[in-house]
Amino acid sequence: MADTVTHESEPDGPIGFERVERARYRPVRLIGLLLILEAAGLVGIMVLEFSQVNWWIQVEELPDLSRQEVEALASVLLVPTAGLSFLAALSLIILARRGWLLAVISQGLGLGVCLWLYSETEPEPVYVYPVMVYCIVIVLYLNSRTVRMLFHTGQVPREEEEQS
Amino acid sequence: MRDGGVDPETAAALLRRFEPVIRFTRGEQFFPLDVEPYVRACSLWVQRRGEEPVCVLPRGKLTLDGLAQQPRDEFGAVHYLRFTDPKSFREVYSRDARQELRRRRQLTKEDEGVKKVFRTGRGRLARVGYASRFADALYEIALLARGRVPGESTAAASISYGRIMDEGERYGYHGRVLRHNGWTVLQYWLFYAFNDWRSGFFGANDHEADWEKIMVYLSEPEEGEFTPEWVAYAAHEYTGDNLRRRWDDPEVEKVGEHPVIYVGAGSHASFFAAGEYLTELEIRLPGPMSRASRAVRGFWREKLRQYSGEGTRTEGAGLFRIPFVDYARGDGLSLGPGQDREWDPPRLMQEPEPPWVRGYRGLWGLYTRDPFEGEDAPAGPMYRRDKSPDPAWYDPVGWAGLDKVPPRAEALRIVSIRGQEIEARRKTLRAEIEDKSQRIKELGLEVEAMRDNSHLSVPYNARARELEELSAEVAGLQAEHATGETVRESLEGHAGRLESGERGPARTHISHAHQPASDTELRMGRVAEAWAALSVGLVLISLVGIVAFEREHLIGVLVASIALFAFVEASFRGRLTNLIGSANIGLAVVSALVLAYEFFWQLVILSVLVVGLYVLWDNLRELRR
Repeated sequence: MADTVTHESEPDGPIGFERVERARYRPVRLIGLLLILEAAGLVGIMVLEFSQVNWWIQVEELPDLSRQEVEALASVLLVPTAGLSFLAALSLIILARRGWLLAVISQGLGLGVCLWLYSETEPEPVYVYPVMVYCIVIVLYLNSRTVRMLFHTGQVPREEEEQS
Repeated sequence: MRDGGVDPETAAALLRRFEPVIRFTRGEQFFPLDVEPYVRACSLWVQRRGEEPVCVLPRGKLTLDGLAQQPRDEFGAVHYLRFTDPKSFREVYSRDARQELRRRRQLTKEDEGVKKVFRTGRGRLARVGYASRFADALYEIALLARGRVPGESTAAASISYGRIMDEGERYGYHGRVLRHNGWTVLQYWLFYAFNDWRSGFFGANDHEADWEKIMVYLSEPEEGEFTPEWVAYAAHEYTGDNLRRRWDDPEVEKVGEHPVIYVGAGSHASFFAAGEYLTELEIRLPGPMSRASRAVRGFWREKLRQYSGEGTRTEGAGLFRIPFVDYARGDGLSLGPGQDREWDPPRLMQEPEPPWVRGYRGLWGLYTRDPFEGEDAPAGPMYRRDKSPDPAWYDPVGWAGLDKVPPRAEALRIVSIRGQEIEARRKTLRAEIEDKSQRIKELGLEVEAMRDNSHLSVPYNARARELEELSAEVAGLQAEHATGETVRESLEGHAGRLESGERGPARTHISHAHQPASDTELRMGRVAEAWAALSVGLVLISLVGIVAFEREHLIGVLVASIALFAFVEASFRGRLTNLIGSANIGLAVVSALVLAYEFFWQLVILSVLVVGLYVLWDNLRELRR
């Protein structure tokens, strides 16, 4: 009975410790999942864009590309973002601290590409806006106190730990 | 123990017993001296509003006694001494003067291996970012327009000081012992002929004359000896708790009973440990900008729960900081008992104060009319530059934040008295609570009896209100009574610890200890230093180049060049991760603005929808319970 009480009330006990550790790395796993979703989404956008164009006909009329074709070609620019996001997700899953930096670079690259497409193409590809929204959400989460402290000092802010 | 002075014999003996050991940095040219030969070497001037300065007494005619006998003058007039003579500035470049300076330097080099030439450490600019470097550049430019001490002054002051020392090499301080607020305070006032921090050590300012102070706080038991409890060293304009250390704090280095002080080269600021200290001159942004900066930071940190570096919540908001380094290495001359040079017997400033202390309210050196006052000489120990009394003189205990700390001998008595006071108050409270509780019961019954009697609505309401107020009052009294009990218990515990001689941690009062730069900070390479020195100039030159030659791609090239400078800077300072994080946040903010611009009404509708769904979900959840 006494042992049970100890485990229930003290996070330092063996069960409590595991629970705190699991809670501590919850944000890491969540970011990993979000990045994999992002990579999959970007690849999906590319596949969708390319599948809607009949490339055999268009190769002969290269200078006169339609909006659909421009969007499909522009989506190639998101390949590095998708690749980096996937690598970052893998790094995070094995809990390497460099995963955070890789994730930040991938989001910066994604936002940069989207802003460039927004400013240079008229009309801009439709997928630019959802990708922007997704990147902004991940940037804010990556820069949140919980995540930054976890990656840079290995600590979770006290208030977060108490909640978990 | 009453406040007041101490007899001169006791004062001199106490000052001698705890007099400080002062360690200077190599290259220091000016050391503490008696004010008498300094004043003899000065002329006295007065500057009246809208007029040219007038010489009141020429060099050679002024004495310490004469200094106190200056006539009253109109509002806004500033009396000041001049240690260096503008007429002698040309002489600084003469062959004789150069030979004299060289001879003096050779003498000091042979002087037991101390007082050698100063070598700068890692550049101050390499320790801070671009914003502070720009602020520093503006500060330097502003010096051209502000009043400042002429460039030749340091050499001229060095020659004049050398002549004083040639008359007799003496090192002295001015001492004062007083009883104040339960403490016996030993004040060591150190006077320097010149502060050459800017011209000699890349610091913030130069000025003629410099007054610095060191204080030792003794407790005086009913029987027995004086016991040192605290020390406080003056550094720039700092005051309060962070200035003082407990006598048994390991940071307080001592030689026997003599505290050791490390003095900043040129600035003469005092420090507890040897090292190089980053001292930041803070310039506040205009009010609206400062408030906006705080609001944005607050929103970023608190509402968005975003990370914005370590430190306090609004630290740095609304401020520009100009960095300067205080080199307090302690590798130069050491003054004090058993050191390279010994102190002269103290010149006492006991009550009644010497006439020059109380009577002369002017500046002790050149008045440059600098609006920031950094280049103006200081006033004497008793006054500030505006002629108002200096708190360090009339309230030395409060100056170091010691007014809330009683001496140990007095602490027990205060604890006991406070315990009795609390107990007496609790007794009164108990009686008051009993009385009022009785009244509450009576009122309660009256209200109960009058309920539902329509003809008694007015008295019913009045009684009900009275009952409510009285209940709240009694609740407050009960809380005070209960708190008093816990406070009394904690006081009893504290009294027990005091009786057993136990002392709490020595450093709980310190919120921000001024620490020297760490080895890692000092290990910055020469390339980084060179970059720090060149960067601001290069940024400005590139800006002009881009505007002149790349107008067609102005924004693109500007962004690229800023990114390049930021990247180089971050690489040198090991802050690439921070840079990438900041760039990302910048991109996210721009993207968010783009989204807001493109989808404003959709976002408004979405927000309303989200709020509506949340309310719905919350209400349904309540229904299910």
